Amino acid sequence: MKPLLALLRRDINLFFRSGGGAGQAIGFYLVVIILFPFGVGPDINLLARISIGVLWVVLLLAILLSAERIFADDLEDGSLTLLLTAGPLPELVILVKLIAHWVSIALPLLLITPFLALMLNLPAGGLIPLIICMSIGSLGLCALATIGASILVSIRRANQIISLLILPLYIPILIFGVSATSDMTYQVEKPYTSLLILLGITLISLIIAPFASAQALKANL
Amino acid sequence: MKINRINIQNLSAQKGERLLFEDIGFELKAGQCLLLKGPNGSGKTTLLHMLAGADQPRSGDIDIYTISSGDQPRLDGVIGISHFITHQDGLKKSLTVLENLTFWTEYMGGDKDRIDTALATVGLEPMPHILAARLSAGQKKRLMLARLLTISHPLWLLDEPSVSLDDDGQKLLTKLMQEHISAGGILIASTHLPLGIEFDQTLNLTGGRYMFNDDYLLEEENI
Repeated sequence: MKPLLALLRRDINLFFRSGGGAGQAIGFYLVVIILFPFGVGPDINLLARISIGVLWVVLLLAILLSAERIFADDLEDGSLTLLLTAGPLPELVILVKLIAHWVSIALPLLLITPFLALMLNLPAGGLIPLIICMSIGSLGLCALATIGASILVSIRRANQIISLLILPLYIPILIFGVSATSDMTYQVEKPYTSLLILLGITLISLIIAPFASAQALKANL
Repeated sequence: MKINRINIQNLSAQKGERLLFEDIGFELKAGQCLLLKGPNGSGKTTLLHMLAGADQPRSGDIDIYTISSGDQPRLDGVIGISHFITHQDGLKKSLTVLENLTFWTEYMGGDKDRIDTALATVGLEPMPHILAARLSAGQKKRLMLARLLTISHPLWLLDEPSVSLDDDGQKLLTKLMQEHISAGGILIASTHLPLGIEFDQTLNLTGGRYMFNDDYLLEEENI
């Protein structure tokens, strides 16, 4: 347990210190959401209607565009070899790296979402459902990003290819993420059905990701 | 943990179409050391990777016998018992000297109380809070050597360990290796430069050959 905690601390520390990781994702998220209302125009009702979808798509892209960083740096300086052979189970090492990625990329995005939601005129009462659904969905996205990153670990600047590779896998998260958020926001009948499916997809991704990534990394080292 | 002996049999390695080495074998007991020799591309680093558990052999066995495992080879194989020093330093540029060493010491189950002495031994004690990005190649190597001191692993795998070290650094490396061997550790090193210690055994890798279709056909027949 102690080695894994040390790894979690180091990875989070690295993400914030080197700037390229968390900073880049936050910058992307911020710029796109700020530009969006200017591009769509001053139609408040239109903005309110598309706000949930826009926030979700941009969150998803921000997470995927930083996927490469999960393993690339560690591969380059040889840390990955040491991390995987030093004792702790590779699957657990990957799970820790996945959580570190979520904490350093997704969590900051979730924290600034309330302010950006104002820009898009998110419907009243939509903020709490949005944050809940995004927290769950982003964890699933990080898991899928980890799988993509490990398969393409030996390719440099692989962000776009990773996104393309796992495209079919993250569409369900987007669909049920958006519908769970709208269902809870507009208080439809049975508002939690989509949320449960989203939760299910996330849990399955979280369970599969460490095993799939461990195999992929073994083949790539 | 202490290793009684390492037994390697019929080990072969393949990189793409190229067979790096075939059917090599050796046995090392506690307190022995082996020198790997051979031209560039003959598979020295690959062999060390396999011994570290980072690469799978094409065929053959690497068996580790420890005191607790008795007559049976260790179940975990080579995982978690070795130090692997290569040109890839495993250091993070945006972490300080101390943070880098502390992380690996915690991760590999070493002793954090030894960090200060280890830094002093390798000559980095004036700069624990310098970022690793600011270190010279030789200082980075010294920081890697500090890892050998804070974590007691019985098997040292050193790939060209003396590269980029100055005279003092090379003397330090020699001293560390001697201490490790006399404490009953096992050492496998590849080098083109003299390391200043007497090796018990030498393994010459002669350079591999390309595999042709015939090889694959033969293999299929054998199956």
